[in-house]
Amino acid sequence: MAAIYSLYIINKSGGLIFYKDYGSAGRMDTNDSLRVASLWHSMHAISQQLSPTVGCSGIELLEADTFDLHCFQSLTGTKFFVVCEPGTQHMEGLLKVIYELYTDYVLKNPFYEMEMPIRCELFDINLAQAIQKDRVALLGR
Amino acid sequence: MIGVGSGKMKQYSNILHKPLSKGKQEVSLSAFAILFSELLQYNQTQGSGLMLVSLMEVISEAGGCWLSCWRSGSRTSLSSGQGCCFIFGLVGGSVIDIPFLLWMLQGNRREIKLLGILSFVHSTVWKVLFGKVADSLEKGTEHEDEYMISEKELLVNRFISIPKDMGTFNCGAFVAGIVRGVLDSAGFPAVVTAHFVPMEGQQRPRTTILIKFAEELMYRPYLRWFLDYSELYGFPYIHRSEAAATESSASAPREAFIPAHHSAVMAPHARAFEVVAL
Repeated sequence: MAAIYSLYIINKSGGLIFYKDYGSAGRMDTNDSLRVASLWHSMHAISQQLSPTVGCSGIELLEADTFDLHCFQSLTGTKFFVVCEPGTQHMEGLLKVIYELYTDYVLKNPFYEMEMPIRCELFDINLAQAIQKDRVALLGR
Repeated sequence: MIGVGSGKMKQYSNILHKPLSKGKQEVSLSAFAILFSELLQYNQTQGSGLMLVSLMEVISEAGGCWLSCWRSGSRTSLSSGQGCCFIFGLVGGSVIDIPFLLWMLQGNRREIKLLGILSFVHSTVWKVLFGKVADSLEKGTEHEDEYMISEKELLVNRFISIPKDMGTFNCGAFVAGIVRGVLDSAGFPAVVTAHFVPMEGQQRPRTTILIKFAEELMYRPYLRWFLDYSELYGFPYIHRSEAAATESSASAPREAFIPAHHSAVMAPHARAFEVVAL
């Protein structure tokens, strides 16, 4: 079972800086993933403007028939979102963990250039561990 | 002197005389990691196109520099309680001394033997810097004058992924610089470098700090023997100009004698290379 289909990280101007898919469902080629990323960025911005509530920070969860999309935006405007099976729980927590990994292994890496695609070995390793842990926890529930 | 627990703050005429508060002896790892990352980025971009090797040298130098900053700042609790003295070592010239590395980090003992100073670095210095003893201290198998301090996960490398195109670059050079500063100050000149060593069954390589001591250190025990010997036979004083000759002739009986004064304790601040004035 693959609860999580894919993970995206987009920078504050809507460029895709990290994409990873898990499992076979919803697999996309590079162009499609870039398109999804910039689409989501715009939709997120528009939702902020259109929202009837004051101080809205954008869409956090999009529920569709075949997938759920959970989004987390950091203070600096970097967005993390996962596409997962409908009704998957505890995705907010996972996104926070991924954000933490990003601040540790990407932002504290002197060889990473801001707003550029993420190519950090340690980030990949620790991300894989976090996702794995999440899956194990999911099986246990 | 500053009374402990007197309940009344002493008035200082000058803020520089005021000791820093003892406070916590730890700093935030995140803060350090960011500072370190910025230091590297700065050196990468500002250094008029530094080559990788020289960047490693630069951060190694920075290690020595940091050592002296660290001394002048937060570590006053180790000093005699007279506040901090702002002494910055000449980093490039590898003169760090820093009141004899705080009188050997307050152990009040001067190490005069190779193994002594190595275990001092491996345990005492490491504990002060990283809060733990280094994972291992080994002797090189191929060369007599090479020693290795290994660490499974060096603090400065914890968040850093080296890009593939940078090859053998290792940020442990920073720690190597610190180690070199300590050894130089204690009178054991050495070339210190940092390397990645792959480990079996481990995803990540460990970092090894390779210490290659200067050649003359290998002869030092014999030099002492020579001085005592010459004293015995009526040459109590050797001129400075003869120092070079002393060293070369001292190397001759290398295999034949086990130095009797191997464990001799020298005056604390007599530097080993001033031994000619004894």
